[in-house]
Amino acid sequence: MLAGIETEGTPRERCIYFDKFVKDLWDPLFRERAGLEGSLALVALGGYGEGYLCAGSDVDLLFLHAGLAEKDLALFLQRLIYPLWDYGFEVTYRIFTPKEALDFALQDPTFLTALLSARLIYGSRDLFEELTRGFQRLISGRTKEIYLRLKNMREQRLARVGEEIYFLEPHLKDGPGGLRDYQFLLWAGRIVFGLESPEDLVRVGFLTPEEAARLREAVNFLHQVRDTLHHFCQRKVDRLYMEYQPEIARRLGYGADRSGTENFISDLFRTFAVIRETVEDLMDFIEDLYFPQGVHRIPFKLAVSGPAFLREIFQIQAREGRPLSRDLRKYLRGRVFREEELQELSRIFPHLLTERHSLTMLRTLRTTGVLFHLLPEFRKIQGKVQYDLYHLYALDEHLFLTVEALHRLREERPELWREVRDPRVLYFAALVHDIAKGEPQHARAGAEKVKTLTGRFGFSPEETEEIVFLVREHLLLFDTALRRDLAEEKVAEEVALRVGTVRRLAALYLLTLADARATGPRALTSWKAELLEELYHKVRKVLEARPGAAVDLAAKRERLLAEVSRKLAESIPLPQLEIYDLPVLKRICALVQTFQEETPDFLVEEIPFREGRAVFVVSGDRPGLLADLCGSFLAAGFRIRRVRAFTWPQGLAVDEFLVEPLSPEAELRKWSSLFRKVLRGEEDLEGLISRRTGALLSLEPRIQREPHSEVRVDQESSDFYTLLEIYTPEKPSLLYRIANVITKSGFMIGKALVSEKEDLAVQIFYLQTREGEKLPAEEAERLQQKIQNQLKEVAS
Amino acid sequence: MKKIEAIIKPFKLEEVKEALAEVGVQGMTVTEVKGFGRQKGHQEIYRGAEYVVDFLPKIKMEIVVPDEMVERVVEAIIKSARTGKIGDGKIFIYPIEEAIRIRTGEKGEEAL
Repeated sequence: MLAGIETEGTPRERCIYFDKFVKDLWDPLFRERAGLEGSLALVALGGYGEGYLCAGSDVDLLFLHAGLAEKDLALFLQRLIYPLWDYGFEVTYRIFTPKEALDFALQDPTFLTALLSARLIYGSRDLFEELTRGFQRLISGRTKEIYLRLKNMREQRLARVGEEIYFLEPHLKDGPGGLRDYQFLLWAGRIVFGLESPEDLVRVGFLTPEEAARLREAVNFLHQVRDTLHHFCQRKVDRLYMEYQPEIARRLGYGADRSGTENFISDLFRTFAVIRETVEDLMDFIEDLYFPQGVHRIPFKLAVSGPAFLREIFQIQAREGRPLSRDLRKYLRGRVFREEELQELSRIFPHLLTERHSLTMLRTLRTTGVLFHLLPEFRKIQGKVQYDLYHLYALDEHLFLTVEALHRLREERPELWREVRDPRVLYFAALVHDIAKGEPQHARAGAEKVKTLTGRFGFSPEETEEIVFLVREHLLLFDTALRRDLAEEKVAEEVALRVGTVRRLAALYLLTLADARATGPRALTSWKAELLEELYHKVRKVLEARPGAAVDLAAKRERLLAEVSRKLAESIPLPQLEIYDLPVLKRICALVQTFQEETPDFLVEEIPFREGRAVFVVSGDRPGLLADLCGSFLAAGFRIRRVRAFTWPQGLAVDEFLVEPLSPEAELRKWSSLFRKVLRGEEDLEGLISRRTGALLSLEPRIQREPHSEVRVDQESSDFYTLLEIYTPEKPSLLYRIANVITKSGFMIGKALVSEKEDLAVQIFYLQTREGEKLPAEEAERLQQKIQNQLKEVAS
Repeated sequence: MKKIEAIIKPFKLEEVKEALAEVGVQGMTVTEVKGFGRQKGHQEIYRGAEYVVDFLPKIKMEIVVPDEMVERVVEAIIKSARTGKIGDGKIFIYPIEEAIRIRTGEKGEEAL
């Protein structure tokens, strides 16, 4: 029969079986030892005393006796306990006379609460009644003290478990709204009002019959879940870990698929909420009696004044964090709201989110149901479960916690917060960022949804645009930091284009951090945080280099997209996008496309500018390419007045040279065939140039100015390149020589910008090592020295 | 049996995972790690405040495979994790004495 107890029936049925089993064990003993019936009783305590025996739970027993000899006691004890142990029950027992039991109860609050559920199983009723009468005397006159002790125990328990209702791996027994909370309700009712059962709570008018039914249903459900869990695990486990949830859901008759599990968990959350609300209502009820001046609750009387009353209540709560009084909560739960009342609240709601206690406010809005009038979208996501490795909370709670995380970031990251112009926008975006979770591309879908609801909350079209942006892009930084190569300048530039301004970047970064923190501790390891931080700084630098321009550039590229493929348009380096107008960009893209399709050695196109003839060259990038280009122009008799050379992500060099002929024989066609030979290694450019030096020298300005040159190394302006800046009087051969020095030193030229400023040539080279890093300080210094020597040589 | 331990760049994780699945790798352990080798950890200058980041975020993958798969797996990792730049990572190969599946007690390659 015991096997049956272990595996079958409800906790209630199991309890009845168990009672019978115990009686059957003891019956023969009482017959053997006639005369002891009046001096021994077996009492069930705790959960078993309440009439529930869950599979795998402790069996809590009290052997109550009237001062029996030890050998008699031992006999009864062994006869009962040994078989129970043999069957694998966890038995806790104490042996007391009624007086000893009462004395001990005064010392040990846990035992005191266990006595609250004492139930006679077998033996002397007189003895049991002696205990219960004594217990009544014990608690009467001490009710306030005992209540506070119980409350204290509850608070300690909740702090220990440390979770909110919407935690995805809830503790069925110790968590908020768990079985211990229900026990607390019964105990408190018994001690303070002498109520014996939950039904009595209805009799005295504390609960309506509907509320009592709801509570009963909740408790039964919870018992059922816990019992199923114990069966499934074959041991006492009260935390409902995520990996158990699908199986428990299935066993309880939910669907075997994901939505079955999600429905199960949502029901469980509602169950916890019912129990906790009832407990907290009772606590308010009791505390209003005991400590009328004690807690500073937001009183019910607020509820009588005009359409502003909702606004007033939640304004106080968001600012001060005070709880609502029980009556006020009940009133709000049952009320139908007028449109103008909700409007008053809506208009100030975004501002209330920025107040210190907005988390308390949001949770109250949820438990009272006001939230669902204010933001009906939340009805769908209440208690919604997100099954992944990271999320620890149901969706609505996750959104609340994101708002809360912003409060903390406000203090921890003042340098980011300074950039936030309107905190209302950021807080509101935080509250709704996952509003379309579960739909494909939820960030995008959420952004669409958000457009329809910001008006209600008094946001202007510009503010709405900011919120929509934040919601749409809330995964951008995280995804980029983890999935893209942060050593690529293009990656930072792309993010910069999508974000547009430093202010937006800071707001988006704050939202990203808040979102990650509200997800759970695993979502934002220091490892991930470091990658995020690196991305943030790199993008920030890109944006700071062109204040305000990134927004326009994004728009420009958008227009370009109408004409060229997305892949090409997105390959254009940011500075090129900046420099050229749309028709030129279009021609560049066409040139690149032809190059990719036909794969020649190189492609050339001449585009006339106001400033002169610009030759665009597209070629596969390789070390020394710029030197070869400059050298071949020089050898073909061209002076280079301007260079704008860039590397595209496909490994292409896309360079512009503004040239003018130094001699009448200079022809682009001739240059082209020379350059082809150079590319193919059929021409020794260095030899050719040194042979022609004499002729070239004669073409240089006759009157030499005082040579004033400057070579600077800049490691700060870019996160990706070391900048080498050279200011020097213009000389045709100079560019070639400098590019040559750089190549021979083994560095790569990622970009080059050469222009004339009055009579000075300004040359800026963006350099990397072959391995794609910035130059180490000492190597940059050595290069600087070499270039200075080269300049002296040219000047002499 | 051999254990292949690969240190790769974080953003390469998905690509390497896919490449490994393609050559028939069924399981792996992935850890977020920090470290440095020849890529000494970069010196960053943010808003004038200069600080040295000595440890760079990397991903460590551990895969145990039968001897005959080692070459394919290593090749797949190199192909998918390479960017050609510094800091692409390293691969270490260790001999494995025994593998045991805890649930069933199966041993050796059966347990992989």
